[in-house]
Amino acid sequence: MAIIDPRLDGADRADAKPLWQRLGWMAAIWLASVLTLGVVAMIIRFWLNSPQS
Amino acid sequence: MFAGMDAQAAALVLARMQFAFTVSFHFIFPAFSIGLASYLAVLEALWLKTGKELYLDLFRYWLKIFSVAFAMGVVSGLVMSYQFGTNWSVFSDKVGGVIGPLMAYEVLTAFFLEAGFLGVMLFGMNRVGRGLHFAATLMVAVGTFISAFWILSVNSWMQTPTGFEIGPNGAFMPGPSWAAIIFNPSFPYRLVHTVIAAYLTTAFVVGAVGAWHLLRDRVNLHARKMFSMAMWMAALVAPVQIFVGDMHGLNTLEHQPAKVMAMEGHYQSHPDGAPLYLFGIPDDKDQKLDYAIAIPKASSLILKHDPNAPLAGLDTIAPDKRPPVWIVFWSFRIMVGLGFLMLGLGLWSLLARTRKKLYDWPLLHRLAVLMGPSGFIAVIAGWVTTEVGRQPYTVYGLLTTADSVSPIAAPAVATSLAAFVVVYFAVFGIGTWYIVHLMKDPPHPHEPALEEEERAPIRSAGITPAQHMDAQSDGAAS
Repeated sequence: MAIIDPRLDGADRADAKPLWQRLGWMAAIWLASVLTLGVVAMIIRFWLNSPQS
Repeated sequence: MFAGMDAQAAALVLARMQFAFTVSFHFIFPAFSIGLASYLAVLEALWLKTGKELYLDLFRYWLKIFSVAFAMGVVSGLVMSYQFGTNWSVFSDKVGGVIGPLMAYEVLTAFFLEAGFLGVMLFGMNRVGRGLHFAATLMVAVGTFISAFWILSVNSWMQTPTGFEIGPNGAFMPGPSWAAIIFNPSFPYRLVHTVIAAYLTTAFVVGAVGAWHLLRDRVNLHARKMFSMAMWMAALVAPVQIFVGDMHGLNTLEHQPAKVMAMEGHYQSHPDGAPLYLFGIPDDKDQKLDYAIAIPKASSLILKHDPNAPLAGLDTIAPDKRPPVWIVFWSFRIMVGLGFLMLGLGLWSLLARTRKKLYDWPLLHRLAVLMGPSGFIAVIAGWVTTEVGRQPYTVYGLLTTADSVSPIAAPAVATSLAAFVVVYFAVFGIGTWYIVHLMKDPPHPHEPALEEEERAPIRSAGITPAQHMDAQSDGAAS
């Protein structure tokens, strides 16, 4: 495993990480974003479909 | 205005007012975020290509504003799908088979491209690195464009419906080719015209913010850069937009002539060449234009490229099939007038550039600040022109607006309209105030990223770090 220079910060440090790790982070953040929006959409859907609305 | 109307007619007017109000409010945000997403992609590309931190600073500055505008766009858009069900259920029932899938594609794009990759844009730089972060920014920019593609396809189909069949229950059903529905005759023109309008809207906001800060500090490099980029857009893209708008108008004349008659104020037919009315007070009751100021034969020249070409007027259209002229006539003039003002500012900026006074001409900067909201006003005026010009139909020539509305009671629509007005002005008023607040703060070197702002150390109350410590940390950051 490559050793990352501890003096690097932010994007430089991320660029020094292996591609699979960066892709993993990208997939995780993307999924979290979509899930967050999905939860909000489901709440609105349940609210609109509730008997009193 | 409701005097003498029966209950159903009043409900129809109120439902139209409600949709007009919500769509106008909503349209402001995507018009801004479509352009801003592309601007962010350009800034990040320039940062990656040149390595200049100035572009990264500008990227971070506008990213915060983009995220707020994007969120407000999503929230304000949700209400309209609710209205399709409550106020326009007959319309939804009749045309859902055609426009439903197209709108679903728009939602999928918004979910999986825009919102998904926006998370990476906002919080991913220190996790995914520069290259993948730029890919996420591109995905958001492409996503905003694809969203616009689907929504404008739906709207264009309502203006120029093709590729459908009528089912046994009178509902519109997709024909053998979806391409005929999606790429209906007015769609390419409307897509290009609207997307360019979104780019110009953003350019004028960016230009206004740059000009605002130049008026306070004319050596601010960040303000100079954003003002320069915006003025390039105004100078190069405004003339393209006028050309595209003309093409769109010719397409409208071919497919929706009554709309163009209303835009031009042509109540009467002109067999020997029609005048271009620059000004006038439309009188729908007596079907005439009062106090008209006209250029003889110029309308025929523009629309037919022949000054003597005959042009039919609204007198050739049955009275109950005519759109209301007053609104269409004036909204069209507001849009066109602002388009030419944008061109004027762009040309002035070119003159200032050649004289090396782009950053040193306060009058130019003041006009740019004044023109900041011009794109928003122009897109709403254009939207009003095309939508009111389609009346009295929702699906042009086939389904009237009166036959599209739900069997609803006027007091119920009036109540929800009042609630929308109050909630929209409160929620989006606060959001807009926050965006303006962000814009008032000048962009500066080492603009913090959102993720860095969150991780910044919390200072204890009453304890302010010594000056030299701040200076040291600034030095470390650079």
